Amino acid sequence: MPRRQPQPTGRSQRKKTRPAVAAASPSRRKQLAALAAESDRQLEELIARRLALPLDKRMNFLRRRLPGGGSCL
Amino acid sequence: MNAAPLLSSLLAALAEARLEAVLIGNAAAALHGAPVTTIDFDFMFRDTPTNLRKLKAVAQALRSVVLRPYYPVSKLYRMVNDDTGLQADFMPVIHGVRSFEGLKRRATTAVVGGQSVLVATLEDILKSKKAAGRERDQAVIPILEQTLRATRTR
Repeated sequence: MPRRQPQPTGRSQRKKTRPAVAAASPSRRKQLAALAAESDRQLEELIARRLALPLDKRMNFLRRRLPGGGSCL
Repeated sequence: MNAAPLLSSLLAALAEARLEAVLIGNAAAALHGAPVTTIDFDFMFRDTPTNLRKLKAVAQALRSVVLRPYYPVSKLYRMVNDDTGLQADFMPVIHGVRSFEGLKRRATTAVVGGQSVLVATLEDILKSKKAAGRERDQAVIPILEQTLRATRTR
């Protein structure tokens, strides 16, 4: 008859946690902030362009279903 | 894809049947200038027996079928025509909006292809998106909020 394996005790029983993600370096943080600001600016511009159009020119919002699933404009 | 032909034919059928409905969802947000897309038109209506008869008449006029995809959980009526690609959802209840009357009172009128349509305000659309809380709704909330800010500053 096989012997029962001893149950792990102490540290090995503790739940393993993921290692902490290293904080972004200052230059990386600057890059990310600049990217977010540029993305916001682009969205603002897009909205301003949309709002400048008359209603009948804002109609290209409908996506067509594709036979295999998914959709396209 | 240009939504005008489909939407105007749908609006013409709604007017012919005298079915009162308010355009909501991403289609309404797009008419307000939000850069969002959708595959269907969402409407809020009152689900009275008379309106359900009218809805059937609209479906008949558009050669489409009315489905209840989430019956009995939801009172959503989905009008579909696979040939034209039409999908219009009619809902008597939407998240974050208390009554049809209130939504209608706050709505603005737009004209698409010679047909007028009641379009829910961006504030109401935002409220319903926030209350629904689905991932796809959460994704457009920042865009709708920015559009709302832009319309207020114009």
